[in-house]
Parts: sequence; structure tokens; C-alpha cells
Amino acid sequence: MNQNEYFSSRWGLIISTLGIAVGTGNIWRFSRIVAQNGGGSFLIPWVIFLLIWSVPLIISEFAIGKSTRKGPIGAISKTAGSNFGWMGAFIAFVAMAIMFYYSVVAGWCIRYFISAINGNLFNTANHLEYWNTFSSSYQPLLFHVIALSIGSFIVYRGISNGIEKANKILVPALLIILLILLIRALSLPNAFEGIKYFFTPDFEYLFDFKVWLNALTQNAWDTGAGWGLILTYAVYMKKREDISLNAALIGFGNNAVSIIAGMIIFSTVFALSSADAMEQITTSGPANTGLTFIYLPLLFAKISEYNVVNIFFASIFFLALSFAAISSLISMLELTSRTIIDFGFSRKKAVISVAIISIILGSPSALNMDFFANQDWVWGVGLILSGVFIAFSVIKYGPDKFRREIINGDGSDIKVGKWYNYIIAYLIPLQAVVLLVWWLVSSAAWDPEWWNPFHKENAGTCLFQWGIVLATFIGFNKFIVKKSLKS
Amino acid sequence: MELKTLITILVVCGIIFGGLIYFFTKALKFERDKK
Repeated sequence: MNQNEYFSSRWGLIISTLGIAVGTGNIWRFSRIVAQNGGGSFLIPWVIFLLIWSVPLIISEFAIGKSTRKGPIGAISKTAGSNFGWMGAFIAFVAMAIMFYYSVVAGWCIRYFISAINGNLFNTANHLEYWNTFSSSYQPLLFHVIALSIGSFIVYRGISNGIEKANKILVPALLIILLILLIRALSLPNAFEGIKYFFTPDFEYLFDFKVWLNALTQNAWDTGAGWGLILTYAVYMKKREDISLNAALIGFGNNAVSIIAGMIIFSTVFALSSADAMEQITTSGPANTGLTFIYLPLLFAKISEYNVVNIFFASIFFLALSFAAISSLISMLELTSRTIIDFGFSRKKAVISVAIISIILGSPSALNMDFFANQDWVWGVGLILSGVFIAFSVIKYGPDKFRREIINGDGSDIKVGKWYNYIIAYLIPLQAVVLLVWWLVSSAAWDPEWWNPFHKENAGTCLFQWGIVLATFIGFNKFIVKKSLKS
Repeated sequence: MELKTLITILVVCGIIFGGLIYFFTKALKFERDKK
């Protein structure tokens, strides 16, 4: 298949890739993880892992996608060798499995935006009951379908007419909204207590292994590094487009948005309810929904004396969250569609099939929070394996050869030094192994039946589901590689 | 504000926002030079 779709400019590429990275993880998950891991102390390992996990993997993904011009299966086959196409298939599967429930989250955001703007969100005194009524109804399923329909329509229109155009609206709008919210949040009385908590380190936490592990996971989740999504968008980079400078912009840009979102959340929560602020941020309700969908609506009702002002701020917050979710969702839809396009199907057929499959297979997550939580656990941790497979591909190719020929090749604005070789060959695998082993071992501590595959969050359910997926792809490796490389 | 809070703000925000501004201005410069 001839390459005939490209991002129209560097800025189109950067904004779209920023759309991958900036999502609900920045706005929703980041603040909760910071609060649970010692506030300012967490930020120190978090910055370190931006430099030694996220940026090197983003560089690698840009390079693999640009040089191979294939989705994950073909890309890994061409980089690591045809015996390893199954790794690319696993990367694609993890992103797809996350997409199934991420669209549910996008649906929640859209629904809450609608509730905020029509004032319904402030017609209840009990937000936990409001959330429970919503989440146990048919509405999460309906909004899951709506979110997928919006995302699929954008992806259907292609790269420059669909994905790029959409992100050129979604991402700047999201950033403007966050700046408005930041100004308002910082102007609230007592907001500074939140800022102080956010940035004050308690150095004892730095000796807690879990803080470092949570900082690594948050970076892995938050930047999108190692998911295969950036690799997919890189397929549509122009030949003379730079890799390293763009990768740095994405990594630092994403983390900057997290800082801004953290300042908004902590200022608002401390300003409006300092007494139980920390408990509300850290003990966050079913499937981590509490802070965003239960507690923040309560706070928005107190942001001023005027209902119209409260409605305004609540609406733009949930609009920002919706934009963040949709811009990430479309990248997951594109990755899955691209994988099918590589098998020889048209974009139209690929997108429609992906949309239908996602609606069906995402429905259990929309209707059952335990299933949602299980999938979030299994495939969230599975992302670490995806990152390992990306790094493995570069190691198999030869890190120095990869750096010289591809990263520093045609069009590079800045040259990446030999530090990259050491990080990709040693540090990234080390981080991944340490993280995975700790994660799985510690799950035995909270679940005596750690091996039971039918429990919600333990090693057993991860190993069981990963095992089925990996065994299938390894078994069909020759077939999937042949199909992916043929077109 | 405690000194350690101020230092954390300066270091973390300095690296993140400083890095972002640095890379962004570099990208702008390269784009201008290409034209």
C-alpha cells in the first residue's frame, strides 16, 4: 500500500501527538497518585522517569513508526525481525483492550459535561448517589457508544482531514480551558495550601520503593510512551521530519499539563474543603472515580455565590476532560484501524469494524465496574510489557545503529548522543523488570489467592489474560507477520 | 513558604517548563530556518 497520508506540518504532528499524551491521566489520575505518594516527594522521581523512561521511548516510537511506515505488527517485524511480530501484536492488543474501557471513561466525561451545562449537576446534594444512579443505569453504555461514534468519525476522515483537524481544535481548546481554570483556582481563598501540599516534599517518602514505582507507572500511563500510539502516528510523519526534538516536546509538554492540572485540583480541593481534602483526593471512590465525578462537582457548587458562574466552571472542566479523553481515544482507534489497514483493508472497512467491535467488547466495562477495574488493572500493567517490547526491538536492531541511522538520520534537527544507547539497552529493561516483578509479587500481599485468574486485581488475572493473548499471537506469528508486511 | 517547597517548585517547574520552552523555541528556530 502506498504511503499517501501525512500530517500536513510539524505543528500538526506535535499537536496530534500531544493529543495522545494529554488525557484523563493528566487531569484525573495524576493528582490522586501525587496525593497518595507524598505530594512534592513524588514529583522528584516523576521528573527523573520522564527523562529515563518516557522521552527515550517516545524517541524510539517516533523512529520505529517513521522508518517502517507500518502499524505495530509490521513495525516490530521490520525492526526486530519477523520472528517477533507477535510483540507488535501484543502492543496493538493492549492499546485496543484499553480503548474498550477508555471509551467508557470518555463517555462519563461527555455525560458529566452535559449534566454540568444544563445545570443538573447542581440539582443534587448527594453526588455519590448521583454517580451511582448514573453508573448503574443504561447511560454509561449509551455514552460509550457516543464517544466511540465521535472518535470513529474523526478517524474515518483520515490523518490530515480527521485526526489532525480534530486535534487542532481539541488540544488548544483544552489548554485554554486549563489556563482559565488555573487562574480561577489560584484566586480562591486558601488555594495556596493546596499548592504548598502539591510541592512540599516529605523526604521520607523518597525511601519508599512504592513511590518510585508509582512515579514510573504514572509516567508510563500518562505520556503514552511505549503504548504504540506514538509509533502509529509516526507512520504519517513526513520523510524529513525531525524525531528527537519532537519527542522531547511531547514528553515535556505532557508533563507540563500534568503540573497545571495538579495545581488546579489541589488548589480547588484545599480552598473549598481543606478539612477532609486529602481523604477526598486519595480515597477516590469506585474504580478511581471519586475525585473527579463525585467530589469535584460538590466543590464546583461552592466556587462562587452565583449558580451561573459555578455552571460555567464545572462545564468547562468536564469539557476539557472530554476533549482530553477524545483526543487520546482517537489515537487508540487509529492504532487498531492501522493494524487492520496493514492487513490490506481500506480505512473505511477498518474503522467501521473497529467501531463495532469496540462498542460490543467495551459494553461489559460500561455496565460492570468490577469488570472495568479488572481490565484497567490487567492492561494498565500490560503497558509495561509493551514498553519492554519497543525497547527490545531497538536492542535487536542494534541501539547504536538505530540511533545513528534512524533517529539521527534524515531530517533530524538535533542529534541524540550515546546516552540513548545505554538507556534503551539497560535502563529501560531494568525499570520494566523491577516494576513488573514488584507489582506482581506485591499483589500476593493483598490477595492470598494471587494465582486466581478470576479475581479483580492480582497477578493471576494478569498472567492468565496476558498468557492467552501472547500464546495466540506467538502461535499465529508467521501468519500475522506475512499479512502485515504483504500490503 | 518553606525553603524545601520553594526549591521543589523551582527545580520541578524549572525542568519541566524550562525544558518545554527550550525545546519549543528550538523547534520554532529550525522551522524558520527551513523556510
